[in-house]
Amino acid sequence: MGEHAGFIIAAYAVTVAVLLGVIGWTLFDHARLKRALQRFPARGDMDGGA
Amino acid sequence: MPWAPGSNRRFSMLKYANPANFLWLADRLIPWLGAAAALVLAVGLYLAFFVAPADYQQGETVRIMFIHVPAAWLSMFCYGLMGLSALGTLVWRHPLADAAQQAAAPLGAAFTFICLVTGSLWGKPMWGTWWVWDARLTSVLVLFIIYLGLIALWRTIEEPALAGRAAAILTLVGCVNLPIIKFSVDWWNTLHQPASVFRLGGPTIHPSMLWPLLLMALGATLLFLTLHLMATRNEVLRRRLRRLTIVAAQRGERAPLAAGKVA
Repeated sequence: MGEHAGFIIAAYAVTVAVLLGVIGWTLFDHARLKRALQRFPARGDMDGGA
Repeated sequence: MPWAPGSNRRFSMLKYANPANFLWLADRLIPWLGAAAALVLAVGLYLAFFVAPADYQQGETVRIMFIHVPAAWLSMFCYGLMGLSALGTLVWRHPLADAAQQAAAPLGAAFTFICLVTGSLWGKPMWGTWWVWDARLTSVLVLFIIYLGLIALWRTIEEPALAGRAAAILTLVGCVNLPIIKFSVDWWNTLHQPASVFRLGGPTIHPSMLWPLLLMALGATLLFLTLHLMATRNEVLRRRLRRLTIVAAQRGERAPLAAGKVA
């Protein structure tokens, strides 16, 4: 990739790292919220509000 | 019973604004949207690296454009989405609008960060500097700081409804920055190049680079929408958990141990 390969690789590496971090965190957050909610008995009524 | 299609509820677009229906829809949309994002990004990356030529002036560094421009686009798209959600919070007081807005802020910060870092890594070999305090770079840095400020605001105010309204007002005030970013390259002298894709008179980029760029922008937008659906779903669940924990506490029951950590 020529003399500037380091800059190109660094740009893509930072992007991949940030995106993997965001995806990983969002999945982890979802899993632990689901786990915490399982401790409550299932309810017949669904929410009125968020 | 969770609501499902086929029940006798009257159809309207607004039914997806009900949090329970939103969760049902999000669970079904997320895998497809995520797969579409992966596919489009894979094709886009292939074209960006193996089909698009090196630039006659910039050489291979032009490959950075294929992530820098989509990140820049999403940093502003995300803020526009938050502005609309802020209207939803203030005008209609809709709880889902606040959840959507809160979920978007960290994503906006992430894409703005990518935009700034890739821009810096592109600027060093092309301009000879990592950073200049010119209008475009500074206004995007301000956008990044606004995202961080909004995230801090939600964390500072404990009452969610109050935090939502305060954040919505700050979001709308911050919208003034969007046209400043967009037109900064026209209004002021800057090192940054003027618009070459979304401009009157059509794009000035050669099609061999324009098509990979548009595909990368589409793929990144699909990825953003997937992540935003996932994060909004998390916010809805977090609020449900908070409510259930409060109700349980009011009944004098012992709240489940893990609940406090996540709520």
